[in-house]
Amino acid sequence: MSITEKDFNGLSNEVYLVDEKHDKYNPDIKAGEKIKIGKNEYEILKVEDNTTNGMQAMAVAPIVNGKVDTSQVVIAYAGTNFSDNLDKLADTSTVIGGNKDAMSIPGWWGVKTVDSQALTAQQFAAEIKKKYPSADITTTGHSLGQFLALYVAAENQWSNIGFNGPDPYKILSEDAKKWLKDNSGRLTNYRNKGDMIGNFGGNGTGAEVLIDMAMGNNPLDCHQLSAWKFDESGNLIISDLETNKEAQRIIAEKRMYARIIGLTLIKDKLLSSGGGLSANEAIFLDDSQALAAVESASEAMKAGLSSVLKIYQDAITEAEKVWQDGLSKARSIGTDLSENEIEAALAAGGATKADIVDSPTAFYEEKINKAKQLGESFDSLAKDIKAGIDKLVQSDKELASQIG
Amino acid sequence: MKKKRWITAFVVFLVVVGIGVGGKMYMENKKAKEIHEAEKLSVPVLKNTFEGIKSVEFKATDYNQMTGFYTMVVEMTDKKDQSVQFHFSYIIGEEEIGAYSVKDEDIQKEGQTTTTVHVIYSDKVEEEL
Repeated sequence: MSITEKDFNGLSNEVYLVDEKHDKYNPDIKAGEKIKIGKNEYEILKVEDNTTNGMQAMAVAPIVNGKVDTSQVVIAYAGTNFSDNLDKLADTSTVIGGNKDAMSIPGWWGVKTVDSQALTAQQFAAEIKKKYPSADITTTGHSLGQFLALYVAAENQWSNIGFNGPDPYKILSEDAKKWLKDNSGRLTNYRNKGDMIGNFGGNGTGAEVLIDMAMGNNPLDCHQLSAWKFDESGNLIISDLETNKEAQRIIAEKRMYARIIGLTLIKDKLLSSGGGLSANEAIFLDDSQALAAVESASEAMKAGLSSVLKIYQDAITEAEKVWQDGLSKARSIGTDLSENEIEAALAAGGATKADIVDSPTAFYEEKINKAKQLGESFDSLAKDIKAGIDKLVQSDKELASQIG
Repeated sequence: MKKKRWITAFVVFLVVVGIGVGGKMYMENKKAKEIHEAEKLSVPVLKNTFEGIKSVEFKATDYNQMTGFYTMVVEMTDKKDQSVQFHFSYIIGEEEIGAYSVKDEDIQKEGQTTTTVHVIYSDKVEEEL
């Protein structure tokens, strides 16, 4: 089952309910309970409500054909609960202050030192890793939760998709920082351009995808998890604003990473089943990798293409404007001349409409056509590869049941 | 003279406390209204998610300021008079509910309810929707 971005968004909200200090504490959030998000159903494997430092975490696995499929696990961490002073302290001490291991809680009796939420987040993750050693684990969270999720993903070399998270680069180990140099594509931290709170801490991890939601700068609205909207397939909707072209390109790259990891899993599954790759299995993997690469290149190219198209179109508009300006200036000088005489005078000086507008326009229009053709050939290549894969899966029933 | 000063001070004190209490009551009233409104808006969405609903009783609703989601705990009764209590998440304006806990698939059957549903809000007001 494919876990969608909408699912991560929903799970990042559900985990807040694990907090017993939450006004409407909900006993439904415990191990064994089932949650449905859209078309996908999940079973809760484990929850932790740490009353010493305020951390809440939840691990879930998808339910496929009525059975829990622990080959995929999602660990979600909760963000700040404003009625929990411990969360506010974690924000100050760990997120802003950069204290990785411990948190000092002042009280009338003195100061108590407890494990930081980053530490207990990692402990929770380690317990899950131990219990499900062959699972593909992805972390998620919102706000403080996403800060913890990014931290845990980087330290364990897992994938992450989350929202509005401050960046934890400052508290990462040297090993995690090293891994991130080549693998930051595995982490996706969706950030709202107007969200001052979540955008704190820079982007040392490289996880950030900054999106202009055209929402202004009110941090209370822009920090909300509910501001994110998703399409029919559960993918995040990013508007076609000029300011989002960069985001679209980065997402195309990150999605390619995710596809390749997915393929590695399928490959492992296929290898473990028979001890080697059959001819069809090998073709399937090669084609699927090719498909992943072409599709993401196509997406990235389309984002680039529309910027380029806009530049060309602006150039054409600019050329026309230059010609019109020139004409009006000429008119204002030679008020006794007819229109033809004005144009002849301009031509004598080397400025004809053909040179200034028509020929550049023809030049740009040809470039525009070439670019569009390139886009179309990517699309048809992707289509051909997909058709090839489908045909293969149809004719090879064994392969189909392995991937199923 | 001294006594008069005390009385004035006391009256001022009462007025200030009155405004404070009144203010708090105003905010709580406003919050209760918003919750009632959110519950009301979620009913058509519930009807578009589950079939065979006879009645819905809102037990508790909370708004998470951080996430912008409402979490509502309801007791839903179907046309066979079977009841199930579960929670779901809802964002105002959305046409689908966010997530819901699966407690009894026999009662929580996905589909549409086109008939009128008896609604009891968390503030005890009742309505047919």
